[in-house]
Amino acid sequence: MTIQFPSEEQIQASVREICERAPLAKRPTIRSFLRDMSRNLGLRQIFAGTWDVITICCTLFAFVGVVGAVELRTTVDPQQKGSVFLFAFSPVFLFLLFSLSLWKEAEGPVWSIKMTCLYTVRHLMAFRVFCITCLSFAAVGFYTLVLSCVLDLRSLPLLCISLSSLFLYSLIQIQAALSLRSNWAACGLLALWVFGNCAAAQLWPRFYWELLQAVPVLAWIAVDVLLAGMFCNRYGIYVRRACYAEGM
Amino acid sequence: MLKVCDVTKRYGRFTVLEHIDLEFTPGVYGLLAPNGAGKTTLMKMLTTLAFPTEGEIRYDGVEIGAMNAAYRDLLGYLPQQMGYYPNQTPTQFLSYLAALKGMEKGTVPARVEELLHLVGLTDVKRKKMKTFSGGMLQRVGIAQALLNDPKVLILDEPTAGLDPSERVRFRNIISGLSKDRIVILSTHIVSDVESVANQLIFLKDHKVAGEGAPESFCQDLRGKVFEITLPDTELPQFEQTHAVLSIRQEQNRVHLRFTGGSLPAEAVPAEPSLEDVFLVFYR
Repeated sequence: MTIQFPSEEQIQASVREICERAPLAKRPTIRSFLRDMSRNLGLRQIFAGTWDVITICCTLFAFVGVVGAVELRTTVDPQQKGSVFLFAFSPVFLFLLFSLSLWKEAEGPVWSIKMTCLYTVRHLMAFRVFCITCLSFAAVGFYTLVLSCVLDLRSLPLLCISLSSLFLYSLIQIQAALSLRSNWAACGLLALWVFGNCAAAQLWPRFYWELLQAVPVLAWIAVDVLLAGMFCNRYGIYVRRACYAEGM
Repeated sequence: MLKVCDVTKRYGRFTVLEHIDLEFTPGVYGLLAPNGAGKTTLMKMLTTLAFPTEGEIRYDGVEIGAMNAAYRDLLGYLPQQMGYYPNQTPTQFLSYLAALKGMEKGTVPARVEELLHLVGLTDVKRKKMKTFSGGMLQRVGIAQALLNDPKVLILDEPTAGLDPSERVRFRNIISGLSKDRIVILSTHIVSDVESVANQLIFLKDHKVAGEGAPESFCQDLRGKVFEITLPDTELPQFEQTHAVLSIRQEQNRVHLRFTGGSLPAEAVPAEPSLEDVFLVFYR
């Protein structure tokens, strides 16, 4: 019996036929995603239906900030405690915002419509985190500078630690929002950040402090940039026309 | 082509849908079933809001979960409970959803205007939606489902809350849309699909009980539906021996449509309607 193998032309024709199918054509990259979202959605629309949540988060964050500052004034080693406090709690605002607004969206009336759009609630959440991170840089930076002036601390390392932790955390949060199917898994993953840092500072204070000290603050930024690169790259790797054809 | 391949959906031990096999090509499909039969679950699976416990749903041969964003880009969905932000105007709401549907900002105002005109809401486009009636909100819902010119349009009980003239307008819109796309319309109101659906799907006992053109269902019932007028005192006894499909009171007498049982001499054959088919199916 002779088996008829397809010719190269037939294989290419089949590949073309499969690649012509509309579903394989469109795949947003992180860049196009950020561009589309910022171009097409205004600030009011990005946060549509969640302004109350943002107000709650801002109030709670301000409260945590004031309590933290008062607490640091009474400690014997404010430099060490301040670093830990800023590293662990800078992203609390993001965590609160993420959890509360996700809960609000899930309970809200437009959930099922949004979940069937090209950009779902997860994408919207990721973009909100991105926007809030940008705004938080200014807020946290200002807070850190005030704190360092009041407590006479070295402001630059504190600033780098708090901002890089915020950036690192927001990357994890965006990645979780885009990649994980379960909201609870995303929230749990994010909660680990805060509790992990607090637990490490509580259980192994010397080691944790040395870790913060040993790693040059700019290394945090370098790690973050590396993670950002990986994140963009991972997000972009999907079945595309070319990949699909090569895979055949 | 959208294909539902041997799909089963369970919530814990409770089976909502069992071994569903369906194929959708461009045209209007009416999904008819009584409340609680699994219509909404099937709709949710077709819109990726829920995933099958077993089996697959494929669009052009690719599993829709794997297609992810690419499938949602082809999708228009009107849920059973149309959600909205009360303080937004329909223009703001549609622009917001257009952005989430990845539409170019420049094309959005014209598209929103076009759709508001299509559903007859141009006059109230700057009014907040909290002042809208149920029918007006439903029309906003229909407009949002059409925003991205979807290839697969899924409408879950779309005519709920619409008055008769709005229903006619809705049917005309659907008829116009069905040329080059799949429209799946879930309802328990037979008249919604009677005039627009090319194909009907009946769900019963968590399975597909029947599938085909509306005429074929009526054809099956031809010669089995009759009408009779009786004194209203005889109605209880008649109901025990026959399947009564409808009753109309006429002074001291009742005019009945029925099927099954022995055929009284006064009974005259009647042309079966889709409503008769539905009632016979779900007796």
